[in-house]
Amino acid sequence: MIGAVKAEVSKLVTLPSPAITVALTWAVTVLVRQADPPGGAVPYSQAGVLVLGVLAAGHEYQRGGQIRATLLAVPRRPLLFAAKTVALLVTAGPAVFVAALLAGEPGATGGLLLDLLLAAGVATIVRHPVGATAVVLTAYQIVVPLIRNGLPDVALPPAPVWSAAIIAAAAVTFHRRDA
Amino acid sequence: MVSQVRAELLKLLSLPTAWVGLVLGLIAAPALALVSAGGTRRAIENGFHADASDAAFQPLGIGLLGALILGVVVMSSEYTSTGDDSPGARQLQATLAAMPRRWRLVAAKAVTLSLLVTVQGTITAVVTLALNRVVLGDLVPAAAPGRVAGAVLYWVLMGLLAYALMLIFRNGIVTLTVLILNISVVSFSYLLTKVTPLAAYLPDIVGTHMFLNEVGDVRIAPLTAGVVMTGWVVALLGLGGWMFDRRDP
Repeated sequence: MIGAVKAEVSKLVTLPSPAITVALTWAVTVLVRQADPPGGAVPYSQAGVLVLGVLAAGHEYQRGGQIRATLLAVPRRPLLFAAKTVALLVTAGPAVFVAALLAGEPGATGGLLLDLLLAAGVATIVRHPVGATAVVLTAYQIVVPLIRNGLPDVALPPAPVWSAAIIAAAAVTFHRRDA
Repeated sequence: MVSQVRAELLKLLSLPTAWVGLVLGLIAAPALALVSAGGTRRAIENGFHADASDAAFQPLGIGLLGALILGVVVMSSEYTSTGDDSPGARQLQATLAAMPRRWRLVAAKAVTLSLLVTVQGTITAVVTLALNRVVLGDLVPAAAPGRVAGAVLYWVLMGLLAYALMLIFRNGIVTLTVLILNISVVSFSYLLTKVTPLAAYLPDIVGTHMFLNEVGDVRIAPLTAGVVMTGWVVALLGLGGWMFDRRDP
């Protein structure tokens, strides 16, 4: 397990795209905070965190089919999925905390980490980074605000329930589906 | 040119993601008009809208997502690798072997996208506005044909904007993130209008003046808005085409 987590961490740390996403998220958060938006800067950092989650899980499915090499090295899929989740939390956790600090709301870290895991889960299910980005951003920034404002009578389950459901669905599909 | 447009149309319509964009664009706005009918009715009755006719057009600003996806897919599909075992080979290389003149390829894709989004936008606008008349009755006045045309033109120009950004960034994630955020509640362009009034002339903000009467605090005539937005899109397409012309496929 430790070896698998270490391998996943080194993959995440050495890829350029997550690093660029983190840098852009920090920069955008700082800039947006200067403009003092009505809802705070967190929704903007959230967009970056969602993209980060998608990239972290989705990079295996980009050109080259890296996932098959990964599964050859770690064939036990539940173990690999757990290792990926732990590695994502360990590497992206500090980055997300810094983003929340920059947004001026360190308390938002927990919520952002749930968003991160949810985005990673969606990317694992969709297996297509661009498509997964479209899905999570549309859901978070357009559909949910619309439902909240337009249909106040609909009770939405809280964020942890959503994240847990998506992660469970991702774990099951990852376990059962052909790579 | 006709055969090139036909080839591009055939390619685009055989992509599952393009159909997601097409269908999403067609159903999102009418569905939104239906589910938010109660809220819209309350907003109009409470005098939230200074101009009630805007309420009928508002769902079109979100259904736009379909046109954006089409604009991204028309180019991002070319950069997808053709197979897992040949990550270096992209669809674009086959396309360029068939159509070596790059500016003509850029133009053929732009024409294909415009045709498709015009059809999609017209159907969506007519259906959404008709639905609004049914569910809201006389609360909203009948839509002026000029404004409907403005809304369709906005869709086409936003689709072309997405295509231009794809040509520049060659990355669907960057383009989609920027554009989806900008049509959502946390729009960067809208935030910028709070910082400087000049931001009202950013392409996605200025274009809405073609079919909405109250956008922010600035009033811009529909014709001016159309000209400014077209200018932005032409300039960005020019830049994207120039970069596409120079870069290795």
